[in-house]
Amino acid sequence: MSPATSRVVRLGETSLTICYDSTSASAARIVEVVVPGGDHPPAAAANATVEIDAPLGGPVRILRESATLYLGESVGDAAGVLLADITRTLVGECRAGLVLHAGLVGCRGRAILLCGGTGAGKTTLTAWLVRSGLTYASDEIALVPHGEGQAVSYPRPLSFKHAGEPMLDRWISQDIRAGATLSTPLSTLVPPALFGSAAYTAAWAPGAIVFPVRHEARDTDLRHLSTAETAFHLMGTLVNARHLERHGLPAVIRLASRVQGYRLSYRDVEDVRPDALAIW
Amino acid sequence: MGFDGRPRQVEGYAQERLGEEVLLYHPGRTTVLYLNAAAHLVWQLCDGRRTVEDIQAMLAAAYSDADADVAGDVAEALARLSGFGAVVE
Repeated sequence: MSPATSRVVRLGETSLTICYDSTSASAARIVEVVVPGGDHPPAAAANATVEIDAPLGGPVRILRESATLYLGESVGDAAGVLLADITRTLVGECRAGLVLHAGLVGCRGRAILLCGGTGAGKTTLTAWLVRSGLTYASDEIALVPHGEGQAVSYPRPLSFKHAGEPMLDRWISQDIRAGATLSTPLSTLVPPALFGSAAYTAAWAPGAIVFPVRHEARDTDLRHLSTAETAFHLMGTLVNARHLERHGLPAVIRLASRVQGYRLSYRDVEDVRPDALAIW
Repeated sequence: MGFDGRPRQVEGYAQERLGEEVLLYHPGRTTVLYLNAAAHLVWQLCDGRRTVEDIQAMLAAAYSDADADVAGDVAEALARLSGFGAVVE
């Protein structure tokens, strides 16, 4: 691979270096979409390296050390493989705190955590809130470090499952998306800048924990959860339980005790008012 | 699974009390079960001696709300506890 450029992405104590040839349009496009916003400062240890090799007229190849993760013609498929590998690397070994399956947006200096499993509507709700003026940090992963830590994430695009694309079409026309997004077998990767402002390295004290549920038959409703209910639902979205003392339950209870949890039911995401979630 | 006998707790489960509510967990697993006050009472009464009817009667006495569906609440709690592996007959 000729003239190599690198970009570092980090979560807690784990970082990953992505090396690529910046003169390769395909490689540069993959990196710009998958790792938006430039470098994170590297962590002190536990680094790994991924290389993107995409010579003009040749196939795209993604290598992890000596293993080939992807070899093919599709820039979108390669981007999907790279995003999955970054997530697996950063999240899989993280011991710095609670890693939650959660969108993360900033509002008035605090974090709103949008917690839920796959299909809960995190990406669509995150996109709507950012489109409505809140600040994007993630649509998928949030780390709440041990202690009274501030919530953080790492640079990543919004990942709209193909089933959620009608909403994407409603907000951003195909013309504007062309050339800016990448389509993977599972989703469309969309730069957050198309929706509003982003702060990839921001750290905010958690202000609210929201568990969204989309219901065809229900009007928008925000219900307070008890500490026990909040902790229960948080455990269901905890990604790194196996690395934590007593599977993270004591830390989850501490978080649920200091930050109010809510159950958000909605039919149409555009009925959700951002200020209704910023209750602190 | 419906209970018609004498449900009893499975050994090894622990609980975290948060006010009147409880998170039930097994130290070897990463999942927890949320129990409200009534469901926690059901859990406590699963001693292998009381029948489901006994448990219903005790909850009916504890919660005097005439509109309460005690039988339904007990059945739901037992189903959740059983599904979590915390109660057997």
